[in-house]
Amino acid sequence: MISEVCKDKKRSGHRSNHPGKGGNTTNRNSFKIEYKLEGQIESIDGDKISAKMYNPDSDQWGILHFALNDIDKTEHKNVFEGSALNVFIGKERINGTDRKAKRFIFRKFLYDTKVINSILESMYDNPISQITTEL
Amino acid sequence: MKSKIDFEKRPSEIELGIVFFGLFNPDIFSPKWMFDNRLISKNDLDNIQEIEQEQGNFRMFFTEFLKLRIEKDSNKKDFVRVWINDLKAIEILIDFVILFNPLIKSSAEEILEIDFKTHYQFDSKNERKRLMNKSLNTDKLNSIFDKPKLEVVRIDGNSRINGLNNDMQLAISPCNRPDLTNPLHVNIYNQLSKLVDNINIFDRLNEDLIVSIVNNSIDKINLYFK
Repeated sequence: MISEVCKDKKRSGHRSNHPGKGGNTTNRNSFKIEYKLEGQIESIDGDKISAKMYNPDSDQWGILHFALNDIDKTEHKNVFEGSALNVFIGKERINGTDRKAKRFIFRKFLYDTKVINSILESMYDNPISQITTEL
Repeated sequence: MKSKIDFEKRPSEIELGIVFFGLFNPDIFSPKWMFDNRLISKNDLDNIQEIEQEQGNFRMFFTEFLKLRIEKDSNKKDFVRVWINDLKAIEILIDFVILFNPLIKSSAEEILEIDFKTHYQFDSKNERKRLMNKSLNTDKLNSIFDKPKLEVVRIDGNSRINGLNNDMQLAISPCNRPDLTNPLHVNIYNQLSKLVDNINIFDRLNEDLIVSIVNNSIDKINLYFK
């Protein structure tokens, strides 16, 4: 009898037909997304940040205000006007207890574009002839 | 982000994965290596869930949103698979693979797989059987046995997308997971390869390509349920 069943979740390879839990049923620190907002930072005033955000579920735009402290410190380098981010609102489970939580995740790919743009702007501000003259 | 097509019938679980093939050493792709290459954040690194590891053979670990498995293969087709279980996190997956791509492309084969796996649940085994048997609609096959029951469906197809060849497979089979009610796998595998020699598949890997394939996969799953 030919019958395909979920294989061992832990040892199954990339063509395992098993979606879902992916080998782990007891996430110690899991985050369940309830909804997400997509957008970009509009303005930064000290540690106060305003971002124009879109809710794809309700098809609505709005302004989200939050503080720099809401963002993981290692992500602060990504905080600038125009940077793109997603805000995930949901529940985190820590040691078996659920609580409301949110995550600010910056688009890494677009951050790289921003870095490239800043390099290009720097090149325009310091044309090659000026650099060679200084040399 | 291009809007995604909605499911006609909503699955109870989904998994969207991107698979790189090549010669990979699972010991190199540690969470620390991922962090050093800006693929995951410090918060991810601090809270990483190491699921399992066998030195030199395989490694699997999870962040809050991403799951990774790196595995050596005896047929020299090692793979790195990164996946999500919630389509809302698709941008995190996309950013990861776009940044990961240049780091591994010298060790990777010019083949990419984007797989889209789902679990559907049914109130009864009969309901699941009725859906499966919809595909058993030729008299020739129907007459072989009394009360025939279709167990597995595999349909291969092919398309072209953004200058790449896409070998697709729709794979449907019952599942025996005890924590789900009469579950059924409805999976779409998209294997991308280059059409002509003078292009590099990794140069074509971008957000539009991934979102198009996701939309196309959902569209195919919807067609099965229509």
